[in-house]
Amino acid sequence: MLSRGVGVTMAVDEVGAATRAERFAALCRAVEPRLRRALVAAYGPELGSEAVADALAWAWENFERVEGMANPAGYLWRVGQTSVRRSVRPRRAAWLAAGPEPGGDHAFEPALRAALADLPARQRTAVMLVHGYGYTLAEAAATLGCRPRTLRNHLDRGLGKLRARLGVSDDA
Amino acid sequence: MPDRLDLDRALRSVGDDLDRASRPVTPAAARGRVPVAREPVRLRPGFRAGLAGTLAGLVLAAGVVVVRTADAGDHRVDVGPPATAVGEEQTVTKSDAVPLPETGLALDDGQRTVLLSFDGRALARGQALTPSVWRASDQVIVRDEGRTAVVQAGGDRAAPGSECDRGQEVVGLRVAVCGGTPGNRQDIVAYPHDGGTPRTLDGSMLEPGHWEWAFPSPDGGRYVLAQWRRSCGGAQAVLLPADGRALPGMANMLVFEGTALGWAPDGRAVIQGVAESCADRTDRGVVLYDVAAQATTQARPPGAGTARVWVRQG
Repeated sequence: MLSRGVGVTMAVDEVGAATRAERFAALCRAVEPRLRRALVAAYGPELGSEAVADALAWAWENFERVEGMANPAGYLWRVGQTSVRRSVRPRRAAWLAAGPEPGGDHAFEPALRAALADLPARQRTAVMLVHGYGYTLAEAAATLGCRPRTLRNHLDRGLGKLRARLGVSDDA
Repeated sequence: MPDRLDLDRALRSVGDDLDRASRPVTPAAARGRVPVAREPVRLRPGFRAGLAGTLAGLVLAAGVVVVRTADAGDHRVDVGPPATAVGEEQTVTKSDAVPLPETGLALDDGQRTVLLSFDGRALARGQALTPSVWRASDQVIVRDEGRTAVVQAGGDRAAPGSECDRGQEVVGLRVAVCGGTPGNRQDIVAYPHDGGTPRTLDGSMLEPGHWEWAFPSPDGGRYVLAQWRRSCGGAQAVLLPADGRALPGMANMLVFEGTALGWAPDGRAVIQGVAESCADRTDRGVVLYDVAAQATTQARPPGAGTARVWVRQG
């Protein structure tokens, strides 16, 4: 790579010579936060964090494949799911219904956690990604490797159940 | 009674709790971990085929025709209005009757023309256009006609300045090559759509030569990918920030040995890598460059022939 002033000149194959570790770090920066949030919303902080670590370890071992994917986050979400399902068979989200972690800010009604825990994991994850973390429908759909329309269905159903159970009015 | 805003606030609070309770995974930690995860479980081939057959039978029985809309993915963004198609037309035969996506990669090896999607699927094939059509054009225009498609060179866009040509625009920004004389343009000028002051992008540190064309990035024109032709003939693809700031990585421009083809719908710059000195030429294939991640992905191997980005018209 040659540097001239503050510009950089390089051949295309030299651009690609950024080390594997550097490119992997860039991938992690891009996908880890939303992948973790999705898997934690689905399986809880403990299992979800483990699933992210597993998925990213798998991505490192298979980096050449992952790097060429159009949507690595969506694929790694499924890798993380596979990891969880190999170790346990997730049932109701007891980790969520059990109540807040000590020290948090819990200025919301206590019934919400129980209602979230009763949602199917896909609906809970969609609700949390879009309304809990503020991702757009497109971003959330890409994270879960599905189409925005599918994500919208999970979201609408999940929100509908939460509103019905918590007695939330439609007024904003 | 709580309302939707109360619910949103409460959900954000749950999100904050979960963020605090979860453990971020660093790249180093991931590299040092022995993975227990495996690929997503694949369905048995027979199961997938059986399911597909059942569904197909149901669809046929209902007399429903399902037309699948092919698009460029969920992250499709505006790639700007297509140029006017000009000159020789070439009809190519599509692989199926599915509508073409809005943009893709066109390859021409002198024998045949192939239209590809950006994920590498061959969508249509036909006889090659004459080489002069490819050389004269910065973009290829495709008209979808069902089982076939018509390929033409993209003509020049209307230029905003009297001494400009090769105009290209996306939502937010229009760029054109300007200054000097036709065939020897020395400036790229970025015209913001909000009426802001046009900015001349600095190419003064390049070797002697001229600009041929420029494409604003589809994210509203944060970057410009432009074609510089050195006096001795070698092409360089130059990536510049449209607002004059630095690129990720703190360079104020990146110069690739090759041809600037445009932008993929996901925002990656498309470049055909050709190391071309005055004496020889080495084909390095087509690559996609992710500006934010500063990483390249090989989209096509060397030997693909001349490449251009195609844009569907209509």
